[in-house]
Amino acid sequence: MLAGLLLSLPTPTLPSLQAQSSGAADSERIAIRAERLILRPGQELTKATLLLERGVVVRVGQDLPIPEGVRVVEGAVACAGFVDPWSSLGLDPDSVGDLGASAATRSIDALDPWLVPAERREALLAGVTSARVQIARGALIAGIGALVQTSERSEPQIVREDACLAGSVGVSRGGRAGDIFDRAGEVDRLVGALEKGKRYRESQVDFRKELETWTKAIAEKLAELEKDFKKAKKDREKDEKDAKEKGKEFKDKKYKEDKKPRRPRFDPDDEALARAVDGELPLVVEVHRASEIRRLLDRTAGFERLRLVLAGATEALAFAEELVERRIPVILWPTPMGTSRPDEYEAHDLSLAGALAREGVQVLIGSGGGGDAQELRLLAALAVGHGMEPAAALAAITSAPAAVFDARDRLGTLEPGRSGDVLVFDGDPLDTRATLRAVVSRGEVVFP
Amino acid sequence: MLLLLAPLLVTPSPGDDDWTIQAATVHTVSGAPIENGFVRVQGGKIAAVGKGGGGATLECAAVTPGLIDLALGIDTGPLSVEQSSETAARLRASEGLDLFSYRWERALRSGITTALAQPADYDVIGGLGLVLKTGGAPTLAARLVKPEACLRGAFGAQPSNGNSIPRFQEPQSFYFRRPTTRMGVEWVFRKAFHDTLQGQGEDDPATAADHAVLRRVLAGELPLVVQAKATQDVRTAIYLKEEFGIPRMVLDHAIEAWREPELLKRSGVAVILPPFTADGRHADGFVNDSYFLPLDAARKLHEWGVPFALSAHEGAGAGARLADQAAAAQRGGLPLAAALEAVTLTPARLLGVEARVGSLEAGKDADLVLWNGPPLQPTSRIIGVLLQGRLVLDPRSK
Amino acid sequence: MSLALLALALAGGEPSAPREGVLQIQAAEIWTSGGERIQDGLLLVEDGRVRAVSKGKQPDPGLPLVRHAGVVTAGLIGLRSQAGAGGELQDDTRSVLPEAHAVHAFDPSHPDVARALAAGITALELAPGPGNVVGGLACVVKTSGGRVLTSEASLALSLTSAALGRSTGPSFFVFGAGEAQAQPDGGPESSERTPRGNREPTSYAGALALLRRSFAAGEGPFARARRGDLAVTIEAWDRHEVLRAVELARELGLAGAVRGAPLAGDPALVQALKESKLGVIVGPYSSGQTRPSLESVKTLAAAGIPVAFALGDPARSPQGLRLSAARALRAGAPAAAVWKALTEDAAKLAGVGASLGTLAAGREADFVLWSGDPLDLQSRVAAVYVDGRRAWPAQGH
Repeated sequence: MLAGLLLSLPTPTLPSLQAQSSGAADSERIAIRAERLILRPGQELTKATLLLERGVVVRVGQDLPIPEGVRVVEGAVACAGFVDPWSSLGLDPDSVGDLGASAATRSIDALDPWLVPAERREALLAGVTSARVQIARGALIAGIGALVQTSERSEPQIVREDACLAGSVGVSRGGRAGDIFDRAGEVDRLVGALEKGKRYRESQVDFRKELETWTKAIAEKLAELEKDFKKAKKDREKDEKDAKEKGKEFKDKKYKEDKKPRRPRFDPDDEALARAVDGELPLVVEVHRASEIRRLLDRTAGFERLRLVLAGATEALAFAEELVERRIPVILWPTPMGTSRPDEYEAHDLSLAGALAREGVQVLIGSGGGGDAQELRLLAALAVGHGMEPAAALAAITSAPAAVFDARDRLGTLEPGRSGDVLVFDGDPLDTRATLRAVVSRGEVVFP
Repeated sequence: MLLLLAPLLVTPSPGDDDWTIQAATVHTVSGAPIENGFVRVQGGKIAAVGKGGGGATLECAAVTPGLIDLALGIDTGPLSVEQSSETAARLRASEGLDLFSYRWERALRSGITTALAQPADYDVIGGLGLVLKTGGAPTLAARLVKPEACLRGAFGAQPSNGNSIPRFQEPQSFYFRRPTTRMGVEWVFRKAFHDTLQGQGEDDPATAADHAVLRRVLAGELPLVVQAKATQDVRTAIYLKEEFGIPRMVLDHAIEAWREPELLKRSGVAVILPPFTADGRHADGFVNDSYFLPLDAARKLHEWGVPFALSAHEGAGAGARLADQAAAAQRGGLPLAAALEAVTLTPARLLGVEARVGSLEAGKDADLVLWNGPPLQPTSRIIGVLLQGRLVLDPRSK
Repeated sequence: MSLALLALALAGGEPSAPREGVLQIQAAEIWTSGGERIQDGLLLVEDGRVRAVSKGKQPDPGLPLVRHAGVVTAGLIGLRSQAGAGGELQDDTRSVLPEAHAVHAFDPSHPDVARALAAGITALELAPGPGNVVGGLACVVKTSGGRVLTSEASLALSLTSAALGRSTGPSFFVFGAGEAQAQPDGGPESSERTPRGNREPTSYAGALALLRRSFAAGEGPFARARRGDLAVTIEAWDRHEVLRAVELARELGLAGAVRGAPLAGDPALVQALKESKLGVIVGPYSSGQTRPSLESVKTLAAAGIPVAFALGDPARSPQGLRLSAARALRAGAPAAAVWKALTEDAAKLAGVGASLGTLAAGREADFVLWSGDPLDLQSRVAAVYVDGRRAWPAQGH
């Protein structure tokens, strides 16, 4: 806890805001006062105030003077809005069930802002202000996921259109799980697709190199010819005359540089896979059984820049060390599941989140890829009830998803200079008995 | 000149339920339409109807009584009928009602304020129907107009649909013993009435209770409302009425009743017409048959002096609204006054509730429909509905 | 008072012989009835019953003592459980089976029972399914030791569409033999099923007539229910089914609970329930439960109508009981009402309100040691005691 610390906006970094702040309309400024202000799990201020201007945290501190006419929201505890890293909230259900997606299919295209607004309202009222949404739940390659802010409005509030590439191996599809060979084959197919993407990228890189070389060579050759143009012209005329006299065919001299390198054909799927291989997009793979996890980890070890994220990870505890070493985060769904399941959730254990976190694995908690984002807070509490540290659980639904999906500047934490969504509770955020009193999303008090 | 009818005798409760409706035309149904008239509502009843008036709190182009539909069809389907026996005359449809269904509200907003609820036609004799309002608290106590208002029966193919004879197997279901054809259905009817007259089988309390109900039908206390779609069903029903001397009979869903003018006139049955279709064809839905209802059938019935009501089967879907049926009947040549009566006073009389509903007269329930043009025309719309003095569709809101 | 006598008996005369089944639990907080919370409390248990609950009392050094830094409460009660019953709670022989006892289907060694115990549930109610108009007699059993508290806790009746038009056996036209109920959260309410079976009744009116006949003939469980000696539970899901059930109960003078009623918070239903002697057994609440359904608990509690949560199909984890409670809390139900629904009112609606559901002298010694407030999902079960003996965890301290 950093008591008595005054954090304020460093003036040089955002001059435009500084200039406009004095003239900004007061409907765009909100002050949040809380007994406990949680900036990020593990970093709290007591009796602190946070000033928001157009959704950006401007100042944070204790004993902050609040300008006139600014709307004040008060409560016991304030924290950053929850980020659900495994959801399909707001996506058209046909797309979510579409197993025929390819790597280039984008979840953002399935966002339906008129679809069941009540679902999104429930999520907001449960504190989930943003989510990673993904189509093609259960498909081998599920396409590109998006990061969106939860809103009841009909204009979609997109944080990032391309947030990740996703896939799944070894999950039951249509109620049937494949046998162990099928599942291993799936891992191979997924890795094969990645390799194809890698080769595609390499061929692009090669092409660029060749093009460069070729252009240089052409330029050199042209320069040469320019120099001896007259001589070369005479030589050529002479050769032509000789050939005609002798009755032979005259062939123009061929240079190696005549042949321009061919650009590799654009393939959208390979492009998407290449982005994952390059590490531009994290790759989220839903996988549960130890055998598939082992195989996946082994076969992706060669992709140096690949940012792998495991979802589900029911039997991942055995691989904790490797996950820590390779910095592979894990998205869990700690929901109570039925007894004696014959599928990939057979070894499902609510204590997994705590166990992995204790080993040092970066644990995220999601709502399982469906529309139940409003359960996120309860799931985090359940994880705590089964051995996870409360700070780790709070991080699992705020700062960790924001970090893994490259949205640290917008989501998951409250920091001056960064956009932030704020929740105000009348008790600890993970306490089931506490009620959510206010939600500030995108600079607006959306509840009450 | 102020025409005031008899003043109200019910103790008024002042407040939200007091309205004065001003209309360019007030269609009372019980008399000639009143130009530039008013209706005053107090304490859930009509206090006064007349010409002129002042202090209007609601205005509209036309006001009519609330519409009445005897074949609304909002029921819990097969669960509203006890199919373990072919006749269940003693059972009450009121015990199988779902008053929480949104379909009631939809019917109310389409102008229907009073309806007849009956068992569905899966039995030959299904049970006792009741008359109730389509709005108010979702309890029977709040909506009841007349309990045990009729006995429901059905001729034709529907009651025997799905029944079969066991072939080389033990009868596993009571559907194996039931009538499988029209002849069998009529036989069940005849047997029920015959046994009632003979007093047979009454040591079984269920049968005794059934017969008690049938005796009330024979005495004219209860009308017998029967489904009779095809010509042969109409004839069967009328022959049965004449054979047993059933005083009051109403033919429901009587698509082809218009083919038998002599029988209708001589027997004195009443008719409920189903929704009109675009080409007049109605599929039976149970046998491979279709029936024909011409657009001028209502006009014909009116000319023959046969009492008839129009219906909308609103429970089935939102398409066939009662006001639209009246408009269609007028297209077939039925005069407006007769069309209006066919959806208000006539159905009320057939079920014996005309003392409470069916026309705009002082002392009757304040069930009113407000229109933005001449009523029951395709160019007019219902803009307001009052049910027992409460505004359920507000003409003033956008 | 009894504790004082006990102390006297111990203080005077010969050295006390170790008494069988005596245990003291000293806890930071003990919850007793009526939402009362005793800080620094001492619970004394003997012979499977609670002897006393006191505040700030020093434990007797001569008696075994368990110290617990967290909260001690009565054990949770899971209603309408099917744990250990293996799908044997629905018999299609006849529509009226008043003498069928659910207890005969209960297998105490089934792993589902142990899982319930580990989740803090000390008693389960197993009841015949909703497929018969008169299903039989529900029982209440303990989750450890297999003890049957009562084999005739209540008479299970059903006025829902699942009880209408069923078949006695495989038939050419049988409609799905499972519990085909209406949408659990009060979705589309029209039942468009076609009953094709060979069992009467096939209609609501027929079911009412059947029930009236059965209670009028008045033998056995029917007579006891009419006298008020036996509670009844009536299965009803759609709102009109609930209203019908409440009205029948009033007509016949029956007390007990309605089971199902996802939209019990509807004003018409609340009004009818207030004028009856019935509570409501709701749930289990799933993740997709709609807000109007979840808010029923709040509305019913505000009207003073007892509510309890059902545990349901063991395919759902027994954690579901606390999750149902958490979802109700999220929808605004007061914490006190939710806690009662898990314990006191659950016992009451199961017909065992005199023995279970609270920690008070004379009650069964079924209690749970929690790491914190049990309504907070962050709290976990540290130990479970049934009949005064530690049942979970089996080994360790």
